[in-house]
Amino acid sequence: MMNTNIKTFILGILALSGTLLFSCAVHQSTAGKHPLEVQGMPQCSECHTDWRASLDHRSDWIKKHKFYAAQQKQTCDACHAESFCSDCHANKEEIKPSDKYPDAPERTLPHRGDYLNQHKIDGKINPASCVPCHGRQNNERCRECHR
Amino acid sequence: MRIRSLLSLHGLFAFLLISSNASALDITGQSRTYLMSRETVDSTNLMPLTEYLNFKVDNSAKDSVSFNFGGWYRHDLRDESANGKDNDDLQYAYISIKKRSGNAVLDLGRVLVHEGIASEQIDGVHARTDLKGGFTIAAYGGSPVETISDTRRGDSIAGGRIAQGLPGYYIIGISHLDEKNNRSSFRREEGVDIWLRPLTKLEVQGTSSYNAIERGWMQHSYYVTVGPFGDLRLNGEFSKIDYKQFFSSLTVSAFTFPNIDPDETITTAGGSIDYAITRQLTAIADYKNFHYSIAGQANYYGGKIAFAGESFGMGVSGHRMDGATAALQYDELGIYVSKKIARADVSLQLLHLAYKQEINGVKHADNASAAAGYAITPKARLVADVTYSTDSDFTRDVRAMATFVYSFDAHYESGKKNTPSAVKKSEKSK
Repeated sequence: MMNTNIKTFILGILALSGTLLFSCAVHQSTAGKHPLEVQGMPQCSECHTDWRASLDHRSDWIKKHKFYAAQQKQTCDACHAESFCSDCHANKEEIKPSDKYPDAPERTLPHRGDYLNQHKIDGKINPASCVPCHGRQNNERCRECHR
Repeated sequence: MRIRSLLSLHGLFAFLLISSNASALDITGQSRTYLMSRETVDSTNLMPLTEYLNFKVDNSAKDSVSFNFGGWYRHDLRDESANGKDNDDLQYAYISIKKRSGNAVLDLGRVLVHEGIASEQIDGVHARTDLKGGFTIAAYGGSPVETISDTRRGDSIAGGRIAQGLPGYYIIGISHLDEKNNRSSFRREEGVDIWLRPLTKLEVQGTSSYNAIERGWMQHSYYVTVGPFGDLRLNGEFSKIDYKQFFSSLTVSAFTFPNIDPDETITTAGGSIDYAITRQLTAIADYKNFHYSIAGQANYYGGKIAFAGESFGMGVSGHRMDGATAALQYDELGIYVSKKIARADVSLQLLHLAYKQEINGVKHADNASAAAGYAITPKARLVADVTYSTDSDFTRDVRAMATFVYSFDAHYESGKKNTPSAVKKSEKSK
């Protein structure tokens, strides 16, 4: 109880301090819409030479994107609508991501093919890998069998 | 129902707010309609019709105010699905106020929050802003969205993140999350997130999360990118998960103790080599080792070659999962081809899974799918696909789906004719 109160107090002070410092933040916000339409897997380094050059969407982007989203989601929002994320991460989904885009076999989308049987192996190999999409509590799809 | 009513009023309020103060409005969105036909293992003939709708209403002002909505609804046209004849989900619905400076944002409503260790769907508020000196501060709070039977009474979630960084060199953040279920502590987590680029060709990023209730580290997950060196790029990954800490707050039976061993820890290490043979042709080799403190170890390795031309694409991939026992071993092969012809496009995909140990007397699963798409207009697209598969559950399974995608955008200015949005953002669900 004491620890929670102290943490709440510290967070409150920091928030107040943040509010005071807010007026001093002079840099421009990340654009709400990317000025050029991009298609496919963009290589941001083709145009950007600053920190945005590290945002190249290469073959391993499916593994790296969580780190960028956790730190600077406003950068993702410049190109992606919120629905893009919720296709995989909205917790309550009935259609597999790979089934939503049958015309995009080049995309790295989870659960292609007979995943019902494959998941029994993948789930034993690394059960934590299920959590980012299927969530901690909102996993109705899992509960159809795992009651 | 009460939540839906509140959110409806919330949305109406947002519209009134935006329309009364703004001289211009941008509306962008997408409708995706899926009609599927398939048969389940218990011979139920399903024909679900599912509508995904998402849109954004933006006042195009200096400090933007927008209303964002995303959700889906499904109705079964034939037999009833396992979870009812109808189902739906409100994925997000929130008002967002964004300032032109400091990346300052205030979101109110049903929000998907991504801040440090938090990746949560909440009904509440989320705010963040950049500050002087490279600092960032964020906070969120509300009620966690739960789709399982739970009264939500006394449920709450709150947290925040503080970070400091120098653009192009590093970002270091610390975050906190506190979730209560029926007023009792359910999750309390703390975490660190880092992004470092000490050299132009070296990038390190990762997160570590700590379970403050059980007092132990849940997960460490880190990624390294080295290069490019000409056309070559190297990637490395490392993670460590303590099952007792990580799975302490999951509610699905497959992840509860003792269905999984609370004394287990898994350490994964691996990497990939990414080589651009030409601008359009890429070869990738990857390897990952899973080391368990109790169960032994497993290896996953393979490769992929992919060609991505302007109107033609092709890829071949092969991987092996080499688990500790025959039951945890399989080989997977995949081939795809796609071709664009004017407004039409066609793609074919073949997937083959060979299990080391048979499942229901069958040692392999094969899946062949063909899809054809047509752009009726630049905003309207129709796709039809058929999938044929054989596996341990079906000697022959045929599924079909028709998809209609319509992207819409409009710009309204008081006293002027409606026009498409001046700046066309790719309303990408792709």
